[in-house]
Amino acid sequence: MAAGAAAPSRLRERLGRPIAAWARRRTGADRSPVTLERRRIYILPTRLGLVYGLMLFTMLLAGLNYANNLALGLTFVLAAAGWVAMHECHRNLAGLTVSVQEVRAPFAGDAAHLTYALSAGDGRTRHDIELAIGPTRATSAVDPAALPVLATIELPCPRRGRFVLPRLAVESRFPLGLCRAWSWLHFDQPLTVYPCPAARAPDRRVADPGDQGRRTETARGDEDVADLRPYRAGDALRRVAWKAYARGGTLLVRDLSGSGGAPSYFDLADIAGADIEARLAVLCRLIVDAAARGDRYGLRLGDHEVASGSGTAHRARCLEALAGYGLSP
Amino acid sequence: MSRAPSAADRHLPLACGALGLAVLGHVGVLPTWIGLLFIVALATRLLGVLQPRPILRRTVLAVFALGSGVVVLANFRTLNGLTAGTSLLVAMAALKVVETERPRDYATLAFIVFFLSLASLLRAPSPLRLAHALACTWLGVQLLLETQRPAAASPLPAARQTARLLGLGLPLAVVLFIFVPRLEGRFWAVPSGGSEATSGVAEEMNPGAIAKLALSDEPAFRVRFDGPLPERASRYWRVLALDAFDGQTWRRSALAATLAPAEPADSRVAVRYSVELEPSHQAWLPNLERLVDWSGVRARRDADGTLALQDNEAGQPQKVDSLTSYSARATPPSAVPTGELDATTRRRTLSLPSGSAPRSRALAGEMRAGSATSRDYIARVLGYFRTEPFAYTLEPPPLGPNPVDEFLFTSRAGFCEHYASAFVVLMRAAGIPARVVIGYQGGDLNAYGNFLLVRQSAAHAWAEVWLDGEGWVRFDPTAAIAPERIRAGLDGALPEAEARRYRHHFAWVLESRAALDALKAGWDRLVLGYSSRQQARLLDRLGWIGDPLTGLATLLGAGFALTALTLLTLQLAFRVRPRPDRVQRAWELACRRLARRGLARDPAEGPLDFARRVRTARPGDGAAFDELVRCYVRIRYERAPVAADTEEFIGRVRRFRP
Repeated sequence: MAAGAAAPSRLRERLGRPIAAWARRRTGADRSPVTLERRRIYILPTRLGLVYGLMLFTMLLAGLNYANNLALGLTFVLAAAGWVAMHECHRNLAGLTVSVQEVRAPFAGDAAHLTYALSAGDGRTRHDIELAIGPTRATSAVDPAALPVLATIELPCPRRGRFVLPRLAVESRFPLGLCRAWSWLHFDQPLTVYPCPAARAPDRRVADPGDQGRRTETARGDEDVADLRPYRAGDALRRVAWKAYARGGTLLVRDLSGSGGAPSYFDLADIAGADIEARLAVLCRLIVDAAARGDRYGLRLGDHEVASGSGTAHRARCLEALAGYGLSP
Repeated sequence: MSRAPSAADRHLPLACGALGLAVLGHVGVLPTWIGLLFIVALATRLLGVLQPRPILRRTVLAVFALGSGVVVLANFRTLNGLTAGTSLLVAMAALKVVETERPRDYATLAFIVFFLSLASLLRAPSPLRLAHALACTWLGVQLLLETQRPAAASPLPAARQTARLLGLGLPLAVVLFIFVPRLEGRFWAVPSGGSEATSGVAEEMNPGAIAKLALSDEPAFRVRFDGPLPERASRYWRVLALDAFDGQTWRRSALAATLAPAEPADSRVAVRYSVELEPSHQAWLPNLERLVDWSGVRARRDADGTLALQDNEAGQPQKVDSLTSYSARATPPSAVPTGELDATTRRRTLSLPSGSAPRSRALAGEMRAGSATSRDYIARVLGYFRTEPFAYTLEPPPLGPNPVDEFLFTSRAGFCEHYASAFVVLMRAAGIPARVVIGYQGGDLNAYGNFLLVRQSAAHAWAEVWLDGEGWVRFDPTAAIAPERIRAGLDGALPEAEARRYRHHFAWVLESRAALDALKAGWDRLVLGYSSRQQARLLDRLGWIGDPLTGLATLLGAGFALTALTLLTLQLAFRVRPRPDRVQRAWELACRRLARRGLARDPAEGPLDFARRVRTARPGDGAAFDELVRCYVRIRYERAPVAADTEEFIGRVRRFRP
């Protein structure tokens, strides 16, 4: 059955699109966290549920035909169990709180790791909650006694760009697999996909005019106390002056801004090539490498400029600029 | 959807257990080869768990499935019958087990378990079978519960969940049971299997036929009377009149089975009663003599006074395969004036096979010559039985080719059928129309349930004689030999040695048997016998006016709504809402108070950061809040919190008024 859901037929697609649009209009964009209320939970019988119904109908006919009340009683016990299962299925989702825990921006071609947190504030244990974006899904049980449960979906992202998180389906077939209850969540949260970094950086001279200065600066060594400043959170560990730390017991960092080394700028205009995606890929590689070394760097993309800096946030800013370059926001 | 087989195989023991239990309900009726196939299939698969081996290919299985279908068809010549259908189902289950791998396969197995349980109940609706079917259903539901889950699901308290599903559903099941409309007839005719033995009086009578029944304590039917219970001596329950005799065996002639014209009856003196008839797998409905009318079943009355259950207006007699209840009225025999006996019937009820029972004929001629009227003659015959050394026994000596003569003149020991047969022969030999009637005599009042229980052991045979001006009059020659049989039932009438051997007299046995009978009667009436008639009566009692189907549908809807409401209320009432602890509540109170002053804590803001912000924004409250937060942090994050801190913290919050 899961296989059927995973490979939607064309008919399903044709039917599904307007329904999806309707559901989107109905609930609007969601701000994390969202607690699933009854009105946004949909429920339909699965194929197994339909077969179960058919079985009950056959049993009913047999019981009526043989005028056998015990056979009818058995049929009704099964029918009632199915009916309770339907309610349980719905209840399994109702009251569940879903929030976006972490969106790790991927490079194009990789998978975005979308981590959602599930929690049940009402003290009921939830079973077999499945999170799905299209065919990719993750399963988890929610135990109210524990902290929120995290479920991570690895969403393949083939193209760079700035997106919004795709529609998340929170669904469950618990307990008997006869019904599928689901809710659609349209989290209003950006998903940035960086360009895929090029396999290797091009010739440094062309790409990195400030390279020379940086090299001389590196060569100067640790003893130059004048360039040291106290460690701040976020400084690259490779910049820590470990010798100075050994001497004085305080963490000092070699400060580049004060030094003579001019900050390097990566400029799209410096990258040769016709294909804009390939050029962005090269820039991406440069930024990733520079960030890995802990260098200071800036980025120029035509009119747009990211001022020189370093650190994770800076790297993210630069890569985001690359992700959104040339695309309508 | 392909998975490592080992992951799915962990459900195999449960699946095989459920199937095995379900098949147990059909042991004894399934063909041996299907039983063997089933056992081999289960064993193969269960051993395969230990020693993985390639599962049979699907094509091979398909051939097997088709083959078993053909064999079943050849075996039973139908797939419609219960036994044939069950056999096919079990064969399919055996084949399915072999290839079971995916959740879908397990679902199929669960459905087969449900169907097998149903078939078991169709076979015989007994409380024991119900318990068995419910146990199977439990396992089937649990199988669904355990297998219809995502691959990566965590373990589940499956038994508890199953109990919850079935338990919460129970009220709805009861509502459905009460209000789902029952049918008057059938959708399709069900072939009665040849293997299903009839019980109760047979359609023909030869010496020894009823004596066999006398040993059975099975209930035949129950009767409730509107008004006083007739005396035991007049409780003759007619089932069938046998008018054709071949010298050995009494049978029912085709003539007797013709439709009877309505007899004139005085309904003012009629006795009204209702009968719950256990399945007899025959069409005949027992009734008191001189039936006036009946209701509750579709039936026809034949020329010999037999009431037969009928399939439809035109048609065929229908066998009583399930508990059948009906009401009827009958008048005491003397109250009905009758006309003439038609010539065909007279000829029929006078005929004796030529050459049979010569000595009996001679005796009849002799006695008839010496009596003035038919009644005189009958009295002489009964007197003959009384005065000659006849014995009433369950163990008569076997009779030869001329049983009536042998019985009357040689063995002189027999059960009621011997006496009835001899009596009718003597009547016919003397030119008096007579026939044998088989049915039941007596019945015991059950003090617990206030009903009359007639067991198979009350089976009896007697005679009816046509007397001009009086019609068919009942004479019971057994009463002449063993009056105790009629007055007190079989137990008192048998010779002491036989009675000790066959009957039990312990008071406590009889007492507890009566209590059990009453329980069974209640079960039969309330559960098995619940039908469209009872539904109509229920609607009537509820004050429903109009179409009963609409009424049932309305009540069914109401029942659904009520159950849903009950479930919802229960959920709301028993919802566990984790209450924040005292510290948390106090902390939230402090934050709310600050928020009212325009300083709301950001959800992501830790207490220390918030305190810092409060210090800068509201220097006046900063110190007090600082203390408060320090206390809070101690309680929350210290490795060994002190109880006093909690009190201090709550006190501080109470005093904290920004």
